[in-house]
Amino acid sequence: MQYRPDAPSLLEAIADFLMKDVLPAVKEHDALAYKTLVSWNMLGVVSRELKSAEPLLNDEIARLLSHFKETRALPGSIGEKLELSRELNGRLAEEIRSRSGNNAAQKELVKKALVENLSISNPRFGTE
Amino acid sequence: MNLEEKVADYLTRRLGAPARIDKMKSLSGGACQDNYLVDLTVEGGTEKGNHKLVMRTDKGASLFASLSRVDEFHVCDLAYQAGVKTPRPMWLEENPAVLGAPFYFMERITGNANGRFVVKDASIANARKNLPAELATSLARIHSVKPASCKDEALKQKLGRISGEGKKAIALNSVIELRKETSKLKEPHPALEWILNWLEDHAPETDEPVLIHGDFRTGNFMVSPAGLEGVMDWEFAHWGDRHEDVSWLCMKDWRFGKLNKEAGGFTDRETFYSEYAKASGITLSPEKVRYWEVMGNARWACGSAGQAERHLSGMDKGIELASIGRRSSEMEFEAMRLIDAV
Repeated sequence: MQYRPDAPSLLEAIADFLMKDVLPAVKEHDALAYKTLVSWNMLGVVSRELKSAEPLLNDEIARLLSHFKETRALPGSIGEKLELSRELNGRLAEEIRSRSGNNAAQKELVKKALVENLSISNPRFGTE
Repeated sequence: MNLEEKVADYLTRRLGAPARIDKMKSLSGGACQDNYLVDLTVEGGTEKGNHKLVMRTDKGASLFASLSRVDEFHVCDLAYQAGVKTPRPMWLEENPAVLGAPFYFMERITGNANGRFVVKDASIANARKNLPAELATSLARIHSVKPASCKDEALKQKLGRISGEGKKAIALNSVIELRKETSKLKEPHPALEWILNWLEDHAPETDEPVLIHGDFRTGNFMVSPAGLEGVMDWEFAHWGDRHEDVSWLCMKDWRFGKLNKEAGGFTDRETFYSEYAKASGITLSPEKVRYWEVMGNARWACGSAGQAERHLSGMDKGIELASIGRRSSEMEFEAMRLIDAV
């Protein structure tokens, strides 16, 4: 096992360092200040992803399997889940491109996926 | 010879009088070009005097549908001749043997193009009030350039297809281009595919193809306390529907935090549309703006994903390119929201 602090706590420490120490030191340099903010923002993405990517992935896989009327056991590792979700999303993309399947159901699926995506990539975007 | 000596040598020959570089430094470039600040003194001939210039050179890489430096120079000249407020294009060299790639000089304008500066800085509060009228006037003049008024046949071809099946050809050609780009992405984007189908099914008619700037947004024009200094970055110019430029300016991503100022983060849509009508004599269709805004968001979603690919491929690494890939979903969501906002 790894000792404390855990990954989210380490990310928080880096984020604090960027905001409290780095940003004030580079605030005269537009490009550096901007990249510091971008970096800080990405730490937030990573931190949210660590916390909720897997449960969201489980839900997404279940929705897509049900859309394709398939039953498959959920893989054990997150890597395999990512691979499966990529495969299923590829099939959905192909189904939409070839204009087969139910347009309204496809729309609901892609919207739901975007709302979940944004809950990690940018929760302040406003998806209500 | 170093770059500075090569440039001085070239300009001395080109201008027929001794040309001295007083200052030259590299400015932030883009993916497709390098920019240099050049202060020049010419000691005789028709261009005698001091010149504050920017030199742009080709970098080799080219982004989706972007123009080369040579074509960009010619488009910029078309716009300048049409009265668009844009830096005056000065001298073009097409021969790559001179500096290793084609390059051109243009007048250097003052001001700041930074998006957050343009929408928020107190020093330009007064200038900001005139921006809708000034920008709408320049946009109307860009759109006054028509394929028929472009005498350069090669350039006319490079600015894109204007023929096809009837009046929907402009929109449908855009969908085809975007499908091509989407199919190159290395991961599936079902949302983009869905949006592309919608765009194909709802293609509007274009009344008349005009010159489109192609990246007309906050961040690509310089503003100073005196007002609009100039529209820049012509590399995405093409023939298209005037609503495309208007919708790109209004996209959510170019408001730099001023979300309620839907046109570029500095004014509301109604004001901008009405200034455009005053300047051009043409009333915009909000419905067509919405269609092209869906297209713009889809294009930028695909472009963002493409920028992340550039980072991941190692071709052009950087924290901004890396972060932008994750933002693709914002544009996809916005496109779907606009589709539902009837």
